[in-house]
Amino acid sequence: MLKNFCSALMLVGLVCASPAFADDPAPIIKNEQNAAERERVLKLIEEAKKEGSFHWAGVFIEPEEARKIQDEFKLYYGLPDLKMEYSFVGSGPLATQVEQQIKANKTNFDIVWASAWSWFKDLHRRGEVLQYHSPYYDQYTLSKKAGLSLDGYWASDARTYQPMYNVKVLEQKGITNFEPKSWNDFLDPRFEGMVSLGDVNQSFSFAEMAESIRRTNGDEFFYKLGKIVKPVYFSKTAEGRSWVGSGEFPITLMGHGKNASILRNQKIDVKLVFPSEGVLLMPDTPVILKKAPHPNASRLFMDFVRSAHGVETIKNSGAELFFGRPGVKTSDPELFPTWEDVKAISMDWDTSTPDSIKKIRDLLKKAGIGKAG
Amino acid sequence: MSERQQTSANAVEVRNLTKAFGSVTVINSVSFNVKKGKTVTLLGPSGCGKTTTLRCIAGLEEPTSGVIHIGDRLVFDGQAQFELEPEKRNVGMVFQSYAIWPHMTVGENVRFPLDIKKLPQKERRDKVAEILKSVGLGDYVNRPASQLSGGQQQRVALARALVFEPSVVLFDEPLSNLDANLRDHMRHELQELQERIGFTAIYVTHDQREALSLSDEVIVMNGGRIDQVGPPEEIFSYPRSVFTARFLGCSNIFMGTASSVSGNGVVSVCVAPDTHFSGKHHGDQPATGAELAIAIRSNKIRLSAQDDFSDPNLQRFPAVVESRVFFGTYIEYGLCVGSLKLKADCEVGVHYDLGQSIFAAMSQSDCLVVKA
Amino acid sequence: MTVTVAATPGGGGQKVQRRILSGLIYTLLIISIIYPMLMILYESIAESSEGFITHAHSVLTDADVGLAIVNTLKISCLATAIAGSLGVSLAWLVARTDMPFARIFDPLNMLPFYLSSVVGALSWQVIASPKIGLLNKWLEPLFGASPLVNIYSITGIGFVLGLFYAPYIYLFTLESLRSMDASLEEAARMAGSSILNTAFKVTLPLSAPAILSSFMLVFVTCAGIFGVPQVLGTPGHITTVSTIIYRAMNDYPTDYPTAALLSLLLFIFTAMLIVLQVKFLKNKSFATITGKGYRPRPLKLGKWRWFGFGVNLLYVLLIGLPFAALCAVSLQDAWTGSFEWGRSTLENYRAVLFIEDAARRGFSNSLIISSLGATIAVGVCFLLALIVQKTRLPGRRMISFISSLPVAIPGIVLGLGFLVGFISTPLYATIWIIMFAYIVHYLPTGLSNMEALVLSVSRELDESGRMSGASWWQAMSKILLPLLAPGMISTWILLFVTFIREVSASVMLYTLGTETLSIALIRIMEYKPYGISAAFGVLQTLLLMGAVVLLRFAANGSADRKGRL
Repeated sequence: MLKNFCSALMLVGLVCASPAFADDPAPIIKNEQNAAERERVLKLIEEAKKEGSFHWAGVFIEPEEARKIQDEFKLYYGLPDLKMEYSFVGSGPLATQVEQQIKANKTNFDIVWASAWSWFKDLHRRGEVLQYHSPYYDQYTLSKKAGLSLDGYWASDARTYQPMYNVKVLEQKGITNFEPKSWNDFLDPRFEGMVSLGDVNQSFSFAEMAESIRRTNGDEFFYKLGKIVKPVYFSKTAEGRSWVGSGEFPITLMGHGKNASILRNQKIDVKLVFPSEGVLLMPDTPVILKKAPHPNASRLFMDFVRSAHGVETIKNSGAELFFGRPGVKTSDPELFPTWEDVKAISMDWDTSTPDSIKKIRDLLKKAGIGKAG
Repeated sequence: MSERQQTSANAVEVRNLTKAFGSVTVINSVSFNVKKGKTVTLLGPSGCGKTTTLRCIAGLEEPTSGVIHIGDRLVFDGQAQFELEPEKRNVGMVFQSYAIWPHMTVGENVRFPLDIKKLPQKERRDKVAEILKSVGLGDYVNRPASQLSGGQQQRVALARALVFEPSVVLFDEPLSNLDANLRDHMRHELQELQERIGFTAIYVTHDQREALSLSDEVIVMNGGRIDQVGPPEEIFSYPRSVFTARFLGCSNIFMGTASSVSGNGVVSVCVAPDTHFSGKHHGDQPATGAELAIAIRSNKIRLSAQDDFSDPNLQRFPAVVESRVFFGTYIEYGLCVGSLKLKADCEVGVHYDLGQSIFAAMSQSDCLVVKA
Repeated sequence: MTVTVAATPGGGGQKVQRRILSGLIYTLLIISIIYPMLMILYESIAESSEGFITHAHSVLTDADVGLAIVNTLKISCLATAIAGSLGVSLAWLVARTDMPFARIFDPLNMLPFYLSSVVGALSWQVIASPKIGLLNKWLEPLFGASPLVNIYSITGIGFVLGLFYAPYIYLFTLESLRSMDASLEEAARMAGSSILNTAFKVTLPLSAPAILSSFMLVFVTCAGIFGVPQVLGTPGHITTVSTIIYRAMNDYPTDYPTAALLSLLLFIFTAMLIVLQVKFLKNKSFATITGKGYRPRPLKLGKWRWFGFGVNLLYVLLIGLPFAALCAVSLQDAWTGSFEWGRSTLENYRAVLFIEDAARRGFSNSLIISSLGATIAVGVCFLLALIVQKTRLPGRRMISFISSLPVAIPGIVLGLGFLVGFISTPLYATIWIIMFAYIVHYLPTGLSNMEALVLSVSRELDESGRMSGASWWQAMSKILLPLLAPGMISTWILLFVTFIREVSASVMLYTLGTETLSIALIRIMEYKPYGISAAFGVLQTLLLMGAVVLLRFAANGSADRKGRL
């Protein structure tokens, strides 16, 4: 309660204080050396003020993290009164929402941020992505090198899905000295009923992840997994994370560093595995919708999240990704190695289509994964 | 506004009123008039269409066809598809349940029609006070209506129906919800009030006592049609049909044929082989051989152990006592007269045994000849 | 209002106006009920690329669809059986026996009626999830590691639904038992029948029509319900028809034809059941109601009365204890399967109120939708009830019939119909389309409530208003409206509560930004199964209880006046 009070008080303080700084230029303006760029940003800021609000949706950044990112953005760009809304939603529902709104010709959010390469390519082909080349895109060299940038439209970060497990719970079940190196180490009958993975039917990023395992380990892996381990599906990684934390399903094949760090912050001992076959670096991309109701706020926000300062903010909020720009120092090299450090499974993202997704879904279904136990 | 050419003395005129609910015809071409200042009663058993007739006059029911005038104003014309809304007919109504609004006080209930008319406040107050005083509820203005007894509710309903001086007041079985004693009392009050204020009224009831005591004219209804119309005494004394006779308390009714018809209205009716009743006939002279019925009130039959009746003009029949029921003020004897069953009321004190052979007698004028 | 026009003989103005009015009502009803259903039909036939027959064949022969249908039937049967046995026996205990504390149990048994079954599912997850459910944890020393109970199962879903729909059957049975002439039972006792024999041979058969129709209603509701199967079915991978409809809609690319086809299937199934119910009831209602107002003497259960008490207490605990556990979870910074004082925090509540945009939007959206929607619905239902019961408008019976159709349409189907029907209108992506769908979906509930209310007031009360010179509208507003006010407030509360916890239609109609409370809860549960979700569930429950208590209190004042009628 006290905390609520304090934050409310701070909010009031902020609102009251803001007029005093009104004449001060925003930090971005102060820090920008290039006059033309300064002019461009100033103009965008004026427009964004007129727009008044901004709505973004993402599948990875969680609401608390989003709030921190937003707060810093507002501060940095001198937009204290900009009303920002964030929706944290699975990639399936997100795509449904966006497609519905396009169909209805009534878009009510601006930036969607998802791991949905094939969908984004599809949107781009249909002209539903706003053309905007943020000056910071050019600094996203890692993304560009991996083929995860589309000039004039987007530059990507990446994320991985990888095994994660609750050490203490496994010990309680008599499984000690568990040092998995390969995906195949999880095909262990002792883990029956303890393993979860993302529901490939509900999210295409889970499906793409499964597809990458299939490419490295073959169809066989899933048949064995279904038979030996009988894993369950979760619909969002955060759900799988809570299961690992609570011990309900202490092992997940689709965890990641951020989830591990959240659990560690709750003083739950979890380990993250980087299998020797490599992990899939999935593009995690923010795009501005063509019919975004607040295009200028969107442009500014896009500038922010692709800039060094923005990436730093995202990282500090807890939403640590494999950032597509070089030289980002992560908070914990064990949980968050950098893009350059990780062994990546190579994948040509343009071969990922609704059809290939359907195939992997069918494979997992055939393997009996996700069946009611 | 349609004005008829002649200004009539009728407060209400009903012409060929018909009302059908789906395939069921509830009122079948009913016509009657109500003169200004008079009370007309629609009398009949439940289902005879009397309440529906009243509701058609009120405008609460839409007739299938016919014409209704209230005063000089056309309120319904089936052919012209014309119908005036109930509230525009200037008609007051007292409902069977009184329909006192429980969420208002007595005063608010009675004042409601005046509020609707938006009369000046003072006039409203005065009129309410006056009418409440005349129904004997002068002190009840601020009493919540939900705290009234049945009789008081009835008075409030009456006051509400009268307060805006409607051209006619409709009563839908207003006394039927009261217990017997209160009913008599309220009937008297109603009678008094009617004499004092002199409003025109149409009164619906199934109780012949109410009908006879309150009305200037009684309309007996049966099966959606008018059976007989007339002043109370005439209806009571000279019913024209079996239905009216039975409804007005003639418990002995025998079907038969006219065996002889004389000029002075005396008809001899053969009701069984060897059993003839001669009775008085009113209205059109029937033909010999016509199907008729004889109706005799049970209290008009005199009994005697011997054939020793003083009046030589009485028709007399030998009878056997079959049953005997004590009713307090009188004793009802069930008799066998040949093959006929007869009921006769006899004063307490005279005693006949069951199975005893006695004589029953009645005068010619007490044997009513009615249509079969 | 109408009529002055008609004062000339031969003027048909009144009739014309009536026709215009009824035409208007028909148009509205067709747009809001018939049109969305036709759109579903259109989507399922016209929008499938491979042709309707091929598509229908491939959908209907899909093993997953078959499994979902079987699951749906199993869940509905189980839920109805549980709700039925609980509802009927509790109603009998409360209404007819000398069970101790029956007066206290009566309102408690109705409690789940006002609660969200989704929050119930969330609470039961805490109690009976296979791995960390409290029950399994406590029983582990006795029965070993294999979980004793698993809420993520068909049984679990059916059980929770049964618990939460028991009050519907309870209410129907209770009303039927209370209105029944006690002498019917007493006659059986006089003829030498025992208590239980009387209950089974006389009491229950006499209320059978009422009870069976409530069974059917619960069955139909459970067959179309989305919230609980989604929450409990997702971890256990139990699909039902409604959850696969949802899934078809929430994927890329969106599979409209399949969703529409399955919706059509579900609608046909529920509609058939409703028709069956109506037919069944037509010939089988016993006139057991007598005018005599005296209350029957309760049956003496003897030593069994404490058994009855135990049964009822168990039901109340089955509702109350999981909720208490939910409260405990909401006060922990991380749920590890047991309450730890060291983990106590109010952080979850702060997150719900200040961090989670979806939660905050859910609160404000739902409050607007529910309060405004309930008000509009009560108004519309009042007007429709007046038109049906108090006018001679041509075709008014048909109006009543069309308005009752949504009772056969599962929420998720109606939601889909509204989505495809109104996606190109300005309504789409607003909270108003959700409110519109709620009003339409609960039109039958509201209308039947209002019709019963209107009929409960003697028609002479408003007729006497007309005879006092009031126009139709004056009579309705000055006399009927104040008389019905307490009943209208009750209907308002009922609709408000129903709207607050509605899930099935909203899940099709929400967009990011227009989430309702329950949608926000379900979405947050996906990534915050404990903690924040628990806090959110607790807050939603408090909101519901608060609304009910507050408004009951408000309604009591005016109900007193009605009590004197």
